[in-house]
Amino acid sequence: MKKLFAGFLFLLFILEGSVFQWLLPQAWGSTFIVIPQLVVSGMIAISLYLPRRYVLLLSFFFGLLHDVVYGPALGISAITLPLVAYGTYRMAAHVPPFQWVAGVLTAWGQLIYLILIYGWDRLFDFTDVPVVLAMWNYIIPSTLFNVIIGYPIFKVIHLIYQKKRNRSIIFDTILR
Amino acid sequence: MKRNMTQRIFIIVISVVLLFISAGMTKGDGDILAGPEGWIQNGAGWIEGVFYTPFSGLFADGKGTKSASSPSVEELKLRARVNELTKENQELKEMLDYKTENRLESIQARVVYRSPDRFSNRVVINRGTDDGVRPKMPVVTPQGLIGRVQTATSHMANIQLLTDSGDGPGIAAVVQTDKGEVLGIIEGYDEQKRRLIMKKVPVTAAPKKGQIIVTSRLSDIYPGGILIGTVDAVTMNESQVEQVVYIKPSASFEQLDYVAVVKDPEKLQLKSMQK
Repeated sequence: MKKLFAGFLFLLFILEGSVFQWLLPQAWGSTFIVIPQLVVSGMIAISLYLPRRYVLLLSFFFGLLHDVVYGPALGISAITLPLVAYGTYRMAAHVPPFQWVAGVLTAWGQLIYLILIYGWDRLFDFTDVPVVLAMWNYIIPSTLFNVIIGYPIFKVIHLIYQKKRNRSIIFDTILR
Repeated sequence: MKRNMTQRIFIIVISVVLLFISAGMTKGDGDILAGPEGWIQNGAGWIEGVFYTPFSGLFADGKGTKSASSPSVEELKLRARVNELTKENQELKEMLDYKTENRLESIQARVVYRSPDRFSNRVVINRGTDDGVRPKMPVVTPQGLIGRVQTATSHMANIQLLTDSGDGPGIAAVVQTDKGEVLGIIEGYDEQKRRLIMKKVPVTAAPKKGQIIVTSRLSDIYPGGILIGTVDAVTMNESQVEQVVYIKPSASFEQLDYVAVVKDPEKLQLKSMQK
């Protein structure tokens, strides 16, 4: 199951930088800029199911991969992604993984992730976008988009979990 | 419970400190990436290219495919192929013209992916140090300058686009006015107005809207005469001692596909002499 999750996240990771760059509004001249964060949506959905250790390891790995391949410097998403995934993991521990719970958690996770990334980028001088503009033109449209696209991602992860859970259910309950 | 809490806070503080250290160390500019980082980027670039490049055919004219009836998959595929070939043909022809006009060596490349993280604007192309690409070389499309090589691996190169508003060295550029050339430095990008900002333009100069801006020959890394854009607006800066020119870039920074890395023999020589 973990291998399937990792494979699915890697596919999402590849789609972010390639296919979506042709489809998103900014490619057609819009002033609203959508940052596709499929991996973050996927990671949040996974954090509802997997034990803590795997959530942290997987999110750290994908954060680091994001930094190496896409990012301006190493460490920014490698720390922010585990932080957000751990947050949603903690919140999800109190509620069963219903769809609306996943939706609310994705919205919160995405918003916080975007704000943190913007904060780091501004701090390290990788961007110069003013706060208000970043909020209205970058962060809010991106959050909306990622919540919508997060629904099918959540469905796929739920499906993988449903199919594979019997094999590792005892293992998971012990660790959780 | 209390010990647990302290431990957690401790871990967070340590990781933030680690973030500062690693971000500060890897912020590198003008590096050639070797080792694991380079390998990962090469591999990722290769995989992403498989996904990225086929799409250029679908959106070849920048309008996407529109059709009233639902076409068959075969037809769509053929149409995509025709679009792709037409576009490739046209772009390569334009490139050829560009080359003969400018008499500079250039390395043709294709974009393989673009960073989704839009706070920093960068794309990756499929040519690296093995093909002669070096950090700081300018990158152009047939429409004009789009950016410069920031870091390079053996098979891929990171391009920092002009629209990247973060730190980076300025570009020496000249406005071609009626009374000769006026020098200035392009520093930064105004996200709201979507214009490049050219600073340090002397007050005595009077650039007018529509006049052309090209790179300056005086620059250490850029060859002269690469088209950047046209003057859009001119204002005084806050201290009223210099003018600020807003430039409308001539190149599009979206849906990038074929680009060329410009290799200026003179500047390369200059660089080796400086060493």
